[in-house]
Amino acid sequence: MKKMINRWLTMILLLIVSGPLLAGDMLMVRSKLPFPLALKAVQATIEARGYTVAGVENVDLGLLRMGYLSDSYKVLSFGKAKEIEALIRLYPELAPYLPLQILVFSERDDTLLVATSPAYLATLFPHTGIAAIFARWEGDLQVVLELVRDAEHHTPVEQDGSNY
Amino acid sequence: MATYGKFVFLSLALVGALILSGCAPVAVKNMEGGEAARLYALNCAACHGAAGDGGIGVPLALQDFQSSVTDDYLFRTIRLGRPGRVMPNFSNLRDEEVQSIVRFIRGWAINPPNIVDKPVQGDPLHGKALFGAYCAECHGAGGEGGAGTGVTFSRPRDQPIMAPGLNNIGYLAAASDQVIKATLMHGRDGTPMRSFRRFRVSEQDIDDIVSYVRSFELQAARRQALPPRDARPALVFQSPHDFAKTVHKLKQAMVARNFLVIREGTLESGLVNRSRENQRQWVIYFGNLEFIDKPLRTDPRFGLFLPGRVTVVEQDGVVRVMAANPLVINALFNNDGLAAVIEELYQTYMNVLREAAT
Repeated sequence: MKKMINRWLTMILLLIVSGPLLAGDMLMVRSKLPFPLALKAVQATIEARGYTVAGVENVDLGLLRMGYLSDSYKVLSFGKAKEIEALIRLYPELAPYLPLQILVFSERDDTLLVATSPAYLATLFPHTGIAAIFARWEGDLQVVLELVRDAEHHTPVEQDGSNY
Repeated sequence: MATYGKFVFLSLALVGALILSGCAPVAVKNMEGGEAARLYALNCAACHGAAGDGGIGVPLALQDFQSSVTDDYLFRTIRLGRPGRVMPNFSNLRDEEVQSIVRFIRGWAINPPNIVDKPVQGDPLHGKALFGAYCAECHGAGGEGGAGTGVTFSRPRDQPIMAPGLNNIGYLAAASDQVIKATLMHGRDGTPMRSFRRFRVSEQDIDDIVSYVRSFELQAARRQALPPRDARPALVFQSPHDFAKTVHKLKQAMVARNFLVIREGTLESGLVNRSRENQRQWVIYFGNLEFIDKPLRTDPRFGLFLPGRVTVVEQDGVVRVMAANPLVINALFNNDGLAAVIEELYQTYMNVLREAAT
């Protein structure tokens, strides 16, 4: 009986203190595409949804040099210039989080794609005027990640004829 | 002849059992589909694999895993996660959705588990000694589990799984005594977790170990993380200098701390034509080998916030320097292994920003 009570107390405590972390705070998908194709697929899919890819950068100073087995590890920045400009004009403290980013890296034969959820950003900056933009970004980003997740070799990612 | 026939039959049965017992966990076709499959793909597949073959998370299709956990264990694990151990709590899902995912995961099971939940009676003191002898090497002396997230770069790839944190409050809330006991009794073929029957320990010894693991609950409750002491999403300092001097001072502050300025440019770089970029929104990326290596080895997802990044914004004649607050972004990762890195990054940002703005 004591054990049972302890267990329930633990569960209740866990529910109370496990904080605001939702699974949705970090968006993450696994794609069967090999790294180079997944990277191209993300770029094509983002652009097909009206965003500009601002850059694809290395995170590292040379992963191979550091003893890693793979340097298939890039960060892709993207956004809509007008939206970003307007947001920073109103809320300059948003600047460190913009443009949006997707981290792309290989994991065995697959590729993992990770991004901070714009819905999570919305909780950090709870201004009513920008909630709709974060919500749209969240929807678009989820679609982008799902399309790349479900993409297979030699099939177009978007229905716009683009092939990566 | 009858004896020979029996021998052939038994051999075939043995080979079949070996094949099905977990040597090839992905070979079992999951017949669950529809909404359950969609929910699994959306929420679980990135870490546990589309076919339940693991990668970052536990290989859910492993038969020894399937036979040693209850539906209740799966439900609570999804619902509560593993605080500080990457597995998030899916508190955003409805109960019916979690149950669908549990059904989907069960689609890989060849034999349903045979576990009757009832508390185990054991001696935790004796269990502690046995835990030290048989479990601590992989699970840590205090049951803290293996280091790293399980993601590529952060652990060797020659093992299908990292040792779970047994002192984790989420694990303890999900795993009943009988689930822990079943894991000890049967092991998990295909992982380093071996059946304790191999060690010739008695069932009472196993009960003692279970009691000791259960005793972690009290410590786990005490170990809960506090909210960040600085909860601002961005660390912002107003600079008394003009824009150019502030940028210069920032770079000086970085170099003085043995960092390289890796690249710099306008925030709009790549988004608009170069001639239209706002030159009063400047981003400087910095770091050094150790600064980048440590977090990436701990959790490759941290690359979303690497290298270090400081942004300078001038608006209405006011120059501000700012960075994303590492204490806040920490919540994204649910990884206790990052605690030291996060603290170091926070201090680095504060020092660099403060120096540039004085």
